Amino acid sequence: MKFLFWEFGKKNKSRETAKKRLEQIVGTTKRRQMNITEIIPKEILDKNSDKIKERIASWLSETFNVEKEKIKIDLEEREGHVVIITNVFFK
Amino acid sequence: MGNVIVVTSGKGGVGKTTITANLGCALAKLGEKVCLIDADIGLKNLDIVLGLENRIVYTMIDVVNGKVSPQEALVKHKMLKNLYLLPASQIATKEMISPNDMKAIVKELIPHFDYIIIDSPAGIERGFRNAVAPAERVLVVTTPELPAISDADRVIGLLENFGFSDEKINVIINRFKPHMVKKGEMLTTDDIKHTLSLEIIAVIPDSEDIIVASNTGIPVSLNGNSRISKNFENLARRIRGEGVPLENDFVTVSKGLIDTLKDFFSKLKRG
Repeated sequence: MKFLFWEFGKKNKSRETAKKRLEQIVGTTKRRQMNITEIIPKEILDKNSDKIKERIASWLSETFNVEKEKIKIDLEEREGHVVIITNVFFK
Repeated sequence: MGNVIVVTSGKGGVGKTTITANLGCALAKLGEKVCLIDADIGLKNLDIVLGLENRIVYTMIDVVNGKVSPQEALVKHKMLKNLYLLPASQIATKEMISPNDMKAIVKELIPHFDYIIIDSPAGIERGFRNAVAPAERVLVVTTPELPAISDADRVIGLLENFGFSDEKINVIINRFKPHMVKKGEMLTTDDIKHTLSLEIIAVIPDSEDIIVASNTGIPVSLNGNSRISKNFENLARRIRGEGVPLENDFVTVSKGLIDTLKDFFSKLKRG
């Protein structure tokens, strides 16, 4: 009898599983639109691009537990926006 | 808000064509002059859902080839005199039409209609780009299932890249099952809204009436006895800019005793 109640009690609601899976599927590719708060002149970006790359590489290195040497970062300007391209070599 | 609307989804089989047909009928019932365009070339279905498959003389390909004008290719609905269909060809392919062709067709039709609604094919390739090209507003259809929602998210990303702002994109949740939500076995409207970060414009409950409607060629919007016809009317009113609360879509979902008995007897009648 106790076993029967335990079986009923442990039933996992699939909505919760769906939410978690959806977050994994969509969360990584989610569109994130941010309002522009400040426009920085191109010269300042050029001057600080190494610092920006360093900060991103540090964060990626900690997050994915990989050596900084295995992270490649490029900054490109496209139609007035800065596009940050990152490549992480896991193996 | 624009009056050229595309109904799209990404994933196939979520109910784009059913929603296009019923939204068209609901708007026409409210007195609007509506033109539906079937952009699903090669796999057309809108004419069948509307019960107009035997009335087609010319298709979009004839228009693109310059054989007839867009207006000459239109098919008038049997029951609603202000509802028209520009049919797709079954033998042509989506590559035979370009986004510029679609823009030109819609440009010619705009002055004659209050609303132009385009039924997009599934996928994100040429057919999708054709359907979206002339649109000013987008309705993204999804069901409360993971594959449909993740495809909808991908499509919304593409639409934003095409230049549509969030205000021009709305989500329709189709085949919603409140009893499953109640049991914790289906994603809620809030879960989907949170995931897609867009406003939900309508919730259409799952209904057997849709299958009956496609069998008869009479969309549920034209069936006063169908409870979900009210959901399509709500959607049409919201498209017109009327402030119909989303909660109204759930009124038709909750069955009272009389509705339950009605459903039971109508099922018995159908055999």
